[in-house]
Amino acid sequence: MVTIHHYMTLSAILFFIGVFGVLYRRNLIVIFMSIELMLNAVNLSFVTFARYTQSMDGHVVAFFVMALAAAEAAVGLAILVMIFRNRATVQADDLRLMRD
Amino acid sequence: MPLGLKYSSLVILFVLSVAIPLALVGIASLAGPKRPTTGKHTPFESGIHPVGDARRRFSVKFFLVALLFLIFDVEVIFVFPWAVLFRHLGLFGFIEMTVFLVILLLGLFYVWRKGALEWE
Amino acid sequence: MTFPVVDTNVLLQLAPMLVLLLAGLVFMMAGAFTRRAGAFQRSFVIVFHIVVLVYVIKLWSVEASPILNGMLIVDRFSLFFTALVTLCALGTVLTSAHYLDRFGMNRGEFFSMLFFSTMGMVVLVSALDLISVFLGIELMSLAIYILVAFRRRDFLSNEAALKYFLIGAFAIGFFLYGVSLIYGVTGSTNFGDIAAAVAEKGLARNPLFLLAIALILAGLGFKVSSVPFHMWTPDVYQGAPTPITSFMATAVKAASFAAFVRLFYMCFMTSKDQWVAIIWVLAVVTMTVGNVVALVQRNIKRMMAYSSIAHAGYILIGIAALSVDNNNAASGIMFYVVVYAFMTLGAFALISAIEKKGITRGLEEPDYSGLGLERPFLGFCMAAFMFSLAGIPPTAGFFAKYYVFSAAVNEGLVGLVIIAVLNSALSLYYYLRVVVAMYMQRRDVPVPVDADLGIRIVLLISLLAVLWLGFGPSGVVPGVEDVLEWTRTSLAKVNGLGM
Repeated sequence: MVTIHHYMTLSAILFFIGVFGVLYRRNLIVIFMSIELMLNAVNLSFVTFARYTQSMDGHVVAFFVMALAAAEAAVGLAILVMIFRNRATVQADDLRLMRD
Repeated sequence: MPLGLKYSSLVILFVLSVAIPLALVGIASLAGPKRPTTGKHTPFESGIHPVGDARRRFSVKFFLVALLFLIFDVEVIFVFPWAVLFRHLGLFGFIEMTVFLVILLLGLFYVWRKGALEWE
Repeated sequence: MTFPVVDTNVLLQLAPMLVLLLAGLVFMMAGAFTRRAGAFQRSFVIVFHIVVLVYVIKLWSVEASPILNGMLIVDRFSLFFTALVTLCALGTVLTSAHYLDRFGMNRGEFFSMLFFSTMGMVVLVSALDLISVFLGIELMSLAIYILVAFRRRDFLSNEAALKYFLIGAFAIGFFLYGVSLIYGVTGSTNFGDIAAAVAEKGLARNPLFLLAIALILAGLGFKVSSVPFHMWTPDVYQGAPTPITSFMATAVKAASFAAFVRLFYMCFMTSKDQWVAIIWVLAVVTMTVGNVVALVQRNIKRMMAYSSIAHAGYILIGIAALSVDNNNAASGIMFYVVVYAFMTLGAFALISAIEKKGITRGLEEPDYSGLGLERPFLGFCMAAFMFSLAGIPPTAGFFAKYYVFSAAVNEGLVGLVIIAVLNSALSLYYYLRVVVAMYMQRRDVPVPVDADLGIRIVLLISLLAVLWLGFGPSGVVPGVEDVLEWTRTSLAKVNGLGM
């Protein structure tokens, strides 16, 4: 029997795969995908709770998260394209002009 | 009817849809003759001789198209719930959705004016 | 079919947001049709801001109740912050007139993004539901990511935008995960329903609920740049166009703290003894790291960034001192944010005026040494802002600190206040170094300063505010007492303490 705990565990695992992806990967596109994974884990958690509490709110939040994740992805990709045009790199380690 | 039986047809469909392609590939590899030539080992690329590595860089223009697609594609998810409840929401919902789409259209118009839709 | 009746009262309450939305769309179209925003366009920017302020004044006396199914509330608390962020945006616009031309970014889109961002802030400060908090933060941040990247050919601007974007998106993930847990535990995302559910089900010590608070704290901590979520601040403040740095330091911080206060006040007060220790530690490390690292900064924008981190630490003391019995701490926070906004807007206006092209951008110490002797008014303004940021009486910065710290002492947080006072003393060193450079050092070539009319207006108003909010009596111009009175009446509704 698949219970709410399974969904919550899956959501937590996905979320932390995303977190570690952001922290340890150096390619900006992969970091980006990790952030999207975090947001999708959150969505899973929202939908699970919505089903569990029999309310619509969670489903609605999932819609908003999806739409804003897309907007965020668009802005992020635009920034990446801009950087690629100026610097021809998408590696996080190459972007360290500012230091203390 | 028990829940298990209600969906049993779906399960059968699922099993068949996995089994049939597996069976086809399996039979072909077991029964078919094997006469390898260089021509057969090269990847098929629309009849053109493959050149270079498949993992080469794409033009940055693809990203621009992708991100434009992304926004306008995903915003449609707000239209789906409205479409489902169209009669229930009535004229008020229609006006709200019109406002939403007009704002979206202004964005499209902006993109168009800026020339982001032209490839060259 | 009957024609839907739109509640005009609701529309009136939404008017500040709708005006900002309209302004954003208008300037987006202006950006599509014109290559450069001239004086005509810029005057319209100011007109839109003034319209918003007029609506704020008009709505101040309207009885507030939750609108849009409890998503938003336009009460005095939100109007107070709406006015503040609009003034910050206006200050940014006035500061940026010559700056935008100098760096080739004078376009309609700049103002469009500024309006959208301000609209996000207004949503954020009016939020009565975690969904609208999320929408507000995102709308605010997405526009700011673009504004930070607005100097497209500039490597520093690129890098700053990327860092801010990645860390902002990362933080919003934590925030949302916290929201989902709260939704799971309490069954709602509405502030009122959360508070009711916490009281009803006795969730104040529920581990999942506390984890949710911690995650939300992390998410908001990124936005207000509290240590250990501050790593982005110096780089982003340095790389962003200076007027935008000013906007981030003032408006973003004010709006984030507004949401912080309302959320913690309405939903999390019953668990206060669980999270107050965390805030205590956050406040101490935030102000200490901010002040200590600021000591060694050579670039004035980086110095201001660390100063902004330190000030976030002082404001966190106010959060730690929030109390269900009185509004002193919350009103202290609101006063602090107002004063901080004025002194920071002023300081960044001057920094915009001295900024040049090149890799250091003319923002190191030799670039402004002797300024006080050559341009007495500009030097005096900067000195006043620096003294105020350091918290020296009789400037407003001193009183802002005084109200927050005294509220904390009343709550028994004496240790925290002692650390804060020591920190203020430490901060004197780097603020005074700017003043010393301006007045004690000379240079052969005069400092080129592009202080146009807008910058001088911002400087003058900020200077008056910094001095007047220190000791000025109430009268024709609102004084300290007036501002404190506004904060108290704003909070009465939020906290439910009739004043």
